[in-house]
Amino acid sequence: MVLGYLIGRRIKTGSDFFLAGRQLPWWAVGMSLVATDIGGTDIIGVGGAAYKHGLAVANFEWIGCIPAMIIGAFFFVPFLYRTGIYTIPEYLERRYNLSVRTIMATCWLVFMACNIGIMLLASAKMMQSLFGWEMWFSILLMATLVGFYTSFGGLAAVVYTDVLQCVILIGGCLLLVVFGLWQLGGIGEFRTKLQNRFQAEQMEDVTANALGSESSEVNRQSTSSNKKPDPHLELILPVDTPTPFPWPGILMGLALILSPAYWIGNQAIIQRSLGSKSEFEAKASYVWGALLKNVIPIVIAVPGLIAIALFPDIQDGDQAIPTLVTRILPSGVRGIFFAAFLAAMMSSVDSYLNSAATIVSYDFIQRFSRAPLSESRILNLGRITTIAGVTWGVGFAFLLTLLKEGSGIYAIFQTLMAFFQGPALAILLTGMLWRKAHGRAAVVALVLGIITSISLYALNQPAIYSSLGWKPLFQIQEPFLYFSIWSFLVSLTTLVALSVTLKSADTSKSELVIWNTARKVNHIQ
Amino acid sequence: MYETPLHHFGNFVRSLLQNIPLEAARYLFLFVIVAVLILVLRLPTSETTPDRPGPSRWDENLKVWAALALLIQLAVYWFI
Repeated sequence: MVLGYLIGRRIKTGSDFFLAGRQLPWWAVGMSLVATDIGGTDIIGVGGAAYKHGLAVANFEWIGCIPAMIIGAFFFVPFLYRTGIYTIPEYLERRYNLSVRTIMATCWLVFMACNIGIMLLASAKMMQSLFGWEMWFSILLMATLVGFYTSFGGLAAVVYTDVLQCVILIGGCLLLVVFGLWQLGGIGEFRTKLQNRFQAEQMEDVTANALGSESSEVNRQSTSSNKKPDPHLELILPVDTPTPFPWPGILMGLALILSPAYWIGNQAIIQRSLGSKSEFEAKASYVWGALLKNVIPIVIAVPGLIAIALFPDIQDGDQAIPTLVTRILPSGVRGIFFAAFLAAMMSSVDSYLNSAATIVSYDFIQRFSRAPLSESRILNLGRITTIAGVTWGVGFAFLLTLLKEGSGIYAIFQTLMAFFQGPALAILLTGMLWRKAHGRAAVVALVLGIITSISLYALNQPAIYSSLGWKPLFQIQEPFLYFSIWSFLVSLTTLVALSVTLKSADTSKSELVIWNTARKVNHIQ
Repeated sequence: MYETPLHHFGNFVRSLLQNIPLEAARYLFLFVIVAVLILVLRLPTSETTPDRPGPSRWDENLKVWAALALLIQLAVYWFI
């Protein structure tokens, strides 16, 4: 809060608030990228997913981040930096038209608004488990802390607090790993206990099959993996895995679609690299972030595996990490982990708040105002929309507390992203790489892609497919990776087919295609 | 409970993918990482060093650090 206050006193313009006056160093931006990506939802959700499904969830931090970050660093981030934009929807209007900008800005705003609520709820759950605090109190406390420094200090406060939070986050989570392994008696004992647990699960499945269990589908799938190594420690899982992480989903849905969509097209991520001091520093921030990403699964996924070995009977995966923290950490160290969790939560909420405010200010209010707004008005607008965003987040978090437990925080987050990330990547990449991509075709492609993913999600809900008399469309749990593949393909096909048909004659926009303008786009306004 | 053409199409794709052995799938993962690594190593130095006159130090070349990040990934997907 002090840092936010000190930085906030030096902010004079909208550019200072939203892009930190383009003065951020690469090391700060890189650590901020990682801290933003690892939120409270990840500590609880990734740990919980590792507890339920094993190490395969680490794919989200490894192949689901690093290749896309490196490609982004050298090809897309420098290009977007040179265009001088504030938001990704702004680029989409320049490249396509206002409709594409407005649809994408709306999607991002809805996603960020929901995400802020989800993150506040995750922090409240953790604090309830650790200290027995009431959920409403935790939600309000977090919202007040983050809302203060984000509304006061803007992107610079967000990035510099993220640096501190990144250090605390990695250090605190590492303590959980160290104490967990110490409790287990070392890495060898850890592996043995995991193997024993796997064999016990197999025996339970065999017994259930012999008794003619009702859940024959899942059991058959589990038994079919009898001769395979312990899936708790496997990164690449077969097509028929009952988990949400079969390898085609990870490779095509995550590595090739969701990950580039996140690292190249996510406003909260791109915005901090646009605030870098120079194009080179923007590239360096992504490379530094990619290096840091290599260690993240060790500190956030491995605790979930340790929980399997120590406490194999937890029913709700989201309770795995809180259980581990309360049962194995001494009280002083528990405080450090709690600080790490708070750091993770704050670093993500502040980023989404700042980016949501940027979208509201630039893509809606300024874009549709009759006269251009002065810099001081944009600054005030940014602060007001930040406060409005945090207020909304509190309301949404309270709403979520009324929902059923056990749906999985990580799955909620990923499903929300999968709704529009595939179509968004299709139009963004095609627009950057193909001169003939047409504005009207992009609108149709974007809408069709989003309808596809929402339809697939709806048709996979038991209430809907049962009422239609259908079988479920997907045979894995939480198939959000497959939603993104199909919606991406629908959008891409539609965009290419319609663009060829419409024969775009608008050559003025070809300067916003990456190949044509590698060095020419200098801050087009 | 009946199946629609969507189910049949999904089952067809699923059965195709099931025929790919897990070891081959691992090579596909490695291929993605190697492809990005080659792309990075082939970039001109001017794209990976600070934009200022004079020679840069070796550790200012982003190619080195990007390659390191990708090599760690190769090791991870090779051994786990």
